[in-house]
This record gives sequence, structure tokens and C-alpha cells, in this order.
Amino acid sequence: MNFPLNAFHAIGLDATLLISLLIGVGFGFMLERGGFGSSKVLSGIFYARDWRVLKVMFTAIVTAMIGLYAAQGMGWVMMDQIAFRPTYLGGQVVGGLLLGIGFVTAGYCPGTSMVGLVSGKIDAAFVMLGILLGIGVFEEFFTTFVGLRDWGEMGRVSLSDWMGIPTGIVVLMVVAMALGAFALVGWLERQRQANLRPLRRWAGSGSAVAGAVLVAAVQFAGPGDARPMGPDPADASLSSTAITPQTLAAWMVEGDNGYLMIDLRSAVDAVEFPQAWVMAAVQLTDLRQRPDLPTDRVLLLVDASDDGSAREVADVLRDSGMDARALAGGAKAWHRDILEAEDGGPAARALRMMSSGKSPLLDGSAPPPVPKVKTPPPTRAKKKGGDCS
Amino acid sequence: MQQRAQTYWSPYLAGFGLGLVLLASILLLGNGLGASGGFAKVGLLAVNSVAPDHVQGLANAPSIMAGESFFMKDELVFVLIGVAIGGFFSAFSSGRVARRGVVERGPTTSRRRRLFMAIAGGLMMGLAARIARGCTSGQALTGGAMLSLGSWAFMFAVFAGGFGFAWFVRKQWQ
Repeated sequence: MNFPLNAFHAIGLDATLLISLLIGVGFGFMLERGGFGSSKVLSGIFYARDWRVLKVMFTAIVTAMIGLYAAQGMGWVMMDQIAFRPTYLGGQVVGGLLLGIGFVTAGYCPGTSMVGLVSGKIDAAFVMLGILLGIGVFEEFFTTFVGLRDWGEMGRVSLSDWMGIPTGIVVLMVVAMALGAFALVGWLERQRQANLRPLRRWAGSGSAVAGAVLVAAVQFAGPGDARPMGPDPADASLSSTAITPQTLAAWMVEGDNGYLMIDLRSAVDAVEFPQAWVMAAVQLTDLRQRPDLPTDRVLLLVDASDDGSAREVADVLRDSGMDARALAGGAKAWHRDILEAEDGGPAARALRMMSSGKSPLLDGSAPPPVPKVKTPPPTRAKKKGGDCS
Repeated sequence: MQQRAQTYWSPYLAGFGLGLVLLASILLLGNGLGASGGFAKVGLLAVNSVAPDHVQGLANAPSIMAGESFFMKDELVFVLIGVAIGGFFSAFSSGRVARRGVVERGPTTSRRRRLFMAIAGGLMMGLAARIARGCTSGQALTGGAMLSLGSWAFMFAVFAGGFGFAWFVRKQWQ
């Protein structure tokens, strides 16, 4: 078993969209049943009037966390293929404060405003309109806000990394915190509402604790992250002198524009890479004649095979401060390992699917074995984890 | 209020169901839930249909329009459509759909004031969700379940902002 299912588009576009729709249906249903189609319920938390928001949120987080980390501990999940939310501490704290202010003012958050709208709440429609306007303000003044958004970048940091405590223990701590919060709000609202029946309360708390203990156990004893199915592109992409055909295939599947291919063969031979610049090695080595050569992208040099001059040219270009790398094995390896390979790994499969007309490309759904992208490319960039996705 | 609240599910049951949906979304699609990203996509698509040149000029547009260029076939958009369907089904089957539309507000608050607050709060949230790279669903719920440090910081900041500002807007519920 390997999750997520859509890693490198093991399932197609239509299946992904259908699953997305069904997940949305479940999401909307549960929000509404939880009472989140009403701004009075939602805002109740901020006046200590109604604690449903806290109860629903923490229960959902605890449930999904136990499921995810139990599966991961069992070795069923490729964590590097999950869009783990990266940390931008400054941006997220400032954004969170502003969102909290907006939430208590509007009475809805973005997801629940949709539920409010379909429940016939006119104020929810106005909230949605406001959200669209707010997003518009951000995009119009993107250069003003981008610094704030990216403030405090720390990468993929989990609570366990940050505290230096094993994930299994963190899961137990989160469950303890949630149960503590439930007990606290239960005590606060004791006068107003009937408490949960003791049997249910103990069954619920007990299963949460049991789940957390299970997670801790499999986290300590289990195999951990599932290995990627093919050769690991992440390792190969770290090489500063050459990249493997599998890495290139992954970049292509991603639609990544952080690299520029330069084909050193004659224009007649260079047919596999229609997007590549065809250029002779001599033209390249004298950089003064190439002021248009981008310095902020990876230059990927391709030759017929490893016998060619791609590696030498890459060396020269690197000496001049460019991030130049050769395609290991050249076009020959590309044919052998990717285009005509039996399997060749997930990226090769996805690429062959794409070239046969079945485009599995869907932004944000594939994991990023990424080269350095310093400028947003003009057409297509991936966005994984960058938005509320 | 009391009578209506009876018909909602127990918050723990709804939370458990929501957690299962969230887990399915993480394991099947690798991404988790989200709302504001879908709003951004729909918003830009709408603007693009009337002023494509303007959208082309936006610095961040390519990253929103990623993938199948300006196509509605997008996970985030489909999740949002699903939320509308699921939310409506749940509300309708529990008799909670206000057919003529209502503006929920406190007894002393005018309709206009409440709608102004809704749009102002929404604007603030749209901006905030872009700055924080997500909203309550994409960051707090999804990132929270993934145990992301930034998402937990975000969640506590949302509660801090909400509790801190609640006093100033209390009148709309009174």
C-alpha cells in the first residue's frame, strides 16, 4: 500500500477530480452538520457562547492526525509526496491574526461561507464577495505583500522537528491537549448546556487516547516512510554536476520551468526535446556572446551520450558562476531509461502517459522534486502547499 | 437557538466525520482540504474572462493559474463545488435552508450594518489567507493534522486575533 494515491499521477486527472468533488461533498456535509452554516454558531466561540468550533476542529485534527501518522508509521505513506504545509512563521502568525480579526467580524471563515451561502444566508454571500476582493487586493499588490507572506521561512518543519521530540510523543501530547481543552470548555459551559453523557465522553476520550498510543507504538516499532517507487529523484537532483533522466522526467511532469535545456547536438538530431535551445558548444563557452543566457535557472546540457561534451561545457559554465548541469548519459540514456523503458519509475510512467495524449497534469497535485526556481516562470509553475489548497 | 442546536450533530461526531474526510483527502490526494485556494482560482478565472491582459500582468497569476492553464478542471475548484453540494444536502435534509434568504444578526443590528461587517471581514480574510498561505481549512485543519509548526502557529494566531478583536464587533450579535 502506498499513499498518497496520486503520487506522480498514479491515478488520472478525471479520477483526481472526482475524488476532489466527493471529498468536497463530505467536507461541506460535515461542516453543516457541525453547525457551521450559521455565523451565530461560528462566532459564538469568540464570545465564549458556543464552543462548537473548537470541539469540531480539535476532534477533526486529532482524528486525521492519528490516521495519518498511524499509516505513516506502518510504512504506507510517502511523506515526501504529501503537501506538508511548510512553515513561514512570520507570514503565518500575521496572516493568522488578520484572519482571526476577519473571522470574528464576518462571522464565517472562507470554507464555511460556502456552507452558509447554500443554507440561504445572505450575509455569507457578502463574506464570499469580501474574500474575493481581499484576494484581489493581495494579487494586485503582490509585490507589496510577498515579503510579509514569505517572512520567517523555515521549510518543512513539524512540531516534532521543532521540539526535538519523536512524532509518537507529539501525537500523544496533541491528544492530551485536545482532551484538556474539551474538559475546560465543558466546565465553562456547564451551566448552559447538558454535558455529554458520561459513557459517550469516556468512549470518545478513550478511543482518542488508544489511537494516540497506537500511533506512538507504530511510530517506534514500524518501518516509517514508504520508499518512493522508482529511483529517488530528490537525491539525484541534488547533484550539482549532472542530473539523471528520472529527475528530468520528474521536472517535466511537474511542468517546472526552473531549468533551461540546451541541446549540443545538431538541430537535425535534437528531436526529443523540442523545448531545448539548440546551440553548439563553442557558442556557449564564450559567455560574453550570450548575454541572454538566463542566470537564474538551471542550465541543462544535453548531448548524444556521455561521450559528448556536455559535461565539459557544464564545468566551464559552472566556473563562470552559472548553475549548469549535464543530463547523465545524454539523449541515449533518455531513450533507454525513460521513453523506451519498461517502467523507469513513476515520473517516467507519467511522462509517457502525457506524451501519449492522456494529460495527467494537474497543478498542485504532484510532489516537487524541484530545481531552484528563483523567478516565477511566465507560464506554468507549481504551487503545492503555497496556498490554502 | 436551543431548539435549532438540537438538530445539529454532536460537535464531536461532526468533528470525527470531518477528520475522516480530511484523512481521506491527505491519503488519496496528498493535499488535504482547502477553501481559499479555490476562491483565488475562481476569482482569477472570473477576472481573466473579462480582462485577460490584466491577469497576465499580475506577478503571482502564473502560480494560481498553474497546471491546465485557465481551465476550471482544478482540484481546489472541485472541492469547493463539492462543499456547496454537501453543505446544501446536509442543510436541506435537516430543514435548515432559509428559502428566501436570511441575514443572521443580533436583534439591535441593522441588516446593512451586518452586511457591511460581512464584506469587510471577508476582505480581511481574503487578504489574510493569501499572506498565511491558507485559511482555517488549508492551514489550521490540514496543517494542524500534519503537525506542521507554522500551521499550529497560524491556528493559535487565529484564535488570538478573533478573541482579541471580538469586543470591537460584539454589537452585531447583540
